[in-house]
Amino acid sequence: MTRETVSGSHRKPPVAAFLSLLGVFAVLPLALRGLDISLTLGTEVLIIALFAMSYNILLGTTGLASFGHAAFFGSGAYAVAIAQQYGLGGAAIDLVLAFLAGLVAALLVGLLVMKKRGIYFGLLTLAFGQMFYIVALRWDDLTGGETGLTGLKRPAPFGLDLNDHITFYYFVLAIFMVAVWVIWRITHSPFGSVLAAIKSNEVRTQYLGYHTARYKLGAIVVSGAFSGLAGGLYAWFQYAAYPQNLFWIESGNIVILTLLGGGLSSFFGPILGAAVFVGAQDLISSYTEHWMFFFGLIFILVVTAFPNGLPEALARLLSLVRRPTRTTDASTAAVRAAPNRGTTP
Amino acid sequence: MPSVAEVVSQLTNGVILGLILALVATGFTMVLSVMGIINFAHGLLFALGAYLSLTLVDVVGYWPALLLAPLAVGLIGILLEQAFIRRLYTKDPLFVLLLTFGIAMMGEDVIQMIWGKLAYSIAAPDLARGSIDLGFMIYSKYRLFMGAFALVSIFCVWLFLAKTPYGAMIRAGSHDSEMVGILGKNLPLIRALVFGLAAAMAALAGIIAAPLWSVRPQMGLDALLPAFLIVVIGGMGSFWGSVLGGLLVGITNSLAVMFVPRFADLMMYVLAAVVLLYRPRGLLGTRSVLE
Amino acid sequence: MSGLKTENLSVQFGAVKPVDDVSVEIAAGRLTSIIGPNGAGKTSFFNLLTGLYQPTRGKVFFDGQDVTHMPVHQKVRSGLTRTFQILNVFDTLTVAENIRAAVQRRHGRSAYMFCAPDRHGPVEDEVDAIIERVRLKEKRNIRANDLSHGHRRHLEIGLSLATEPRTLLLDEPMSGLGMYESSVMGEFVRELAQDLTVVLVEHHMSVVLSISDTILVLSQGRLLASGTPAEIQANPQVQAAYLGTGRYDLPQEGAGHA
Repeated sequence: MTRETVSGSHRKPPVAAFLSLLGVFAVLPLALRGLDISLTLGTEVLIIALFAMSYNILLGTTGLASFGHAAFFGSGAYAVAIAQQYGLGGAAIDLVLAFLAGLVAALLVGLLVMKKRGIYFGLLTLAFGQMFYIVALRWDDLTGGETGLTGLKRPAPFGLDLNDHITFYYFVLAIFMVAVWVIWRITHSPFGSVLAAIKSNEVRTQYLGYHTARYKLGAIVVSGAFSGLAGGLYAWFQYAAYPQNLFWIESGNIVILTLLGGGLSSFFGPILGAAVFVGAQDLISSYTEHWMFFFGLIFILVVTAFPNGLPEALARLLSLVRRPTRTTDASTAAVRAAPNRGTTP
Repeated sequence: MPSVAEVVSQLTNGVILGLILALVATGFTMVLSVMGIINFAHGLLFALGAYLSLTLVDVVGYWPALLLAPLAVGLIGILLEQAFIRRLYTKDPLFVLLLTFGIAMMGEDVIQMIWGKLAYSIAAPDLARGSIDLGFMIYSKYRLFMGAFALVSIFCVWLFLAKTPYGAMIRAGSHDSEMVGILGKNLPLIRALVFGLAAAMAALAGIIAAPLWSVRPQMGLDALLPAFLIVVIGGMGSFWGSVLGGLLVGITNSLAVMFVPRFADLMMYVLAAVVLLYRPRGLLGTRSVLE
Repeated sequence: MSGLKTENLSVQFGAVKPVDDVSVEIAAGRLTSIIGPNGAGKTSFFNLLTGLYQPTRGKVFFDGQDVTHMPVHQKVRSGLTRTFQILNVFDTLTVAENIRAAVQRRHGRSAYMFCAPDRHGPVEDEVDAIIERVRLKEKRNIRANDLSHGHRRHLEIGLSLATEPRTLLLDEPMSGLGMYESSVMGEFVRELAQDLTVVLVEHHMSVVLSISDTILVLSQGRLLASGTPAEIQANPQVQAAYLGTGRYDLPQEGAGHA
């Protein structure tokens, strides 16, 4: 799975990959029980993984590094919470509202940033993402201010009791699988190939006649909508919506865990990143109150040690252990990466 | 409706806040345009300035602390650049932003370990205590001191950039410029210098803001986010753009405090959004640091 | 007709004026080359024509219409596009995917999110036709990254052809190519000029002289001369300009990477 490129040529649905994904997550509760780990951790991994997959529509597929994605995730969470305050509820309504909230939030930010790229895009998404946090803090009659909105109820679709850990896990898994499939479809569609072209070279894409800003806006909106959906699930998960869900640290987390999983080059990578990161987060916060210190450390480690993600780092490690002579491979790779590659006879 | 005196005094507050923010933002935009990176730890350096002065004031007194704390933070900035950031110049700037995210998080936690979670306040120096009657209004002496100090600092930085050989090198090293290649072996020195200078400026802003802002671990973000918006408003890479942007943000904030107090800190975002829509490059957006 | 025209076109970066008050007419249906000694402003002029740079002063007309401030994608849609000297193909995509990304827009399919990109007959037929036209049939499913330099040059032109241009601007399509590859490219460009207006910036003088209908010579940002290849070769001013730089571009042909 390491080289299943986001924009790659394998456009047939990877049925085997989806089935193994389903298989792994279907038996995960058993494994967690064996290890004496709470299933809620598994549920959280699923939701954050969905968030990361949504995020990767921008980073991995379109090549745009957003640093304000918590705004879309949090908007989804607040949409569910606020709807319930006004007596609106039910699984379908909650999820549709969460999706739409993420979509609208992303549309607002997207209209401001769609013409930008690179580092300026990062700066703007960070700033305007944080704006949503401030709105949540200040508009307290709607959002509950600093304490957020608590005491939410999980709905009971088809008579299922979602307060039961196992039922909730499998319900989230079902939504996760469908959403990931839809995201796969979108990123491997004609629209997705324009995004891949933009990632590869935006100026060239304009010279193909594309109004690239519009496609970027489209990518932001789609990505934001699915992030909102993940946020809605998260509101159910924590029975609440908190301003922290919109905070910059959350935006940073999603970038780092997407990178950690190898999301720049792999479609399914963010899922691995979410599993490792959420696991580490849980471990750290159960041992120390100085979680920020260790989170910061994770950021620095990922950026300096495995910027291309765990899968690639593992592959490199393995090849080192197995065959020390692999250096020749590395040098041909370097030649291929050199800009003047073709001129060698 | 607020009275005229109230409005004038609020506007003055706004201008002074704007000057402090401009001091933070000019350093931030200098790093941005010379190195092409976003330093998210810039806010941490602002906070460190305030905290260091908090400790130093008790040891050496106010005025020496005002000198020593920025120097110390400047050194910390150079250290950060040398130890971490330098390794990432050849990579996507996204990585530097994430790295400085990490540094900001660690730094905030270290501050909590050393100074605790609670907020402190710093006493104003004797010279600037109390208030002064300006004839048409009574105004805090310390705020005037703050404004004057920030103004002088900004002017000194400009003098340094515009009139000294090192300043000329920094201007030449500006990100878009082809001069980067020509500077060659001087480039590492210039980058360290810029980073150190920007860190010291942030710290200085932190120190003079400390008696009015509560000194708390999260204070860095309160200065950093306005700095982001100021860059958007003033224009990326423009020194005077940052000053202008700072003033506009300060004034917007002070007016908002009077008229829409609950959403006061949202108004600068609105301002930035409006500027972005009508002047995508910012008010004075150009390609170099000084223009 | 799909000709290009400039009026007092100038651009300034700081104190430098790479293009200074150039007014020319580039006739439709012909192959026009822009030459000049190094630093003459060829590339800047080219970038002004194609909208990569915005002029400080002056105007660009395409088909008699002022396109100076028209966004790039609209210029392309009205039939004006370009290639790049520094290769600008989509490295991570295969040859077919590269071309398809360009073709599908004209079939109105680029906003489709819920289907595969390569299942639409008319698009695929056109993709295949273009791949064949740029002689990359055997490389159809190879990633652009893994192509040879010469093949990447062909792909670059294929991308531009896929936008169905009426006027195509080629930015040094022979740079980095060997002698044989260059002459093949020269023939290919000549072939393109049968259906299109072609504007060429190129260093390989022998090729330029043999295939062009008209040549424009720029020197120090200004238009020095224009005429047929024979007229340009005989022009003493042009010879002086080339001599003045202390080097000929002429003998360099084909020996690009000796």
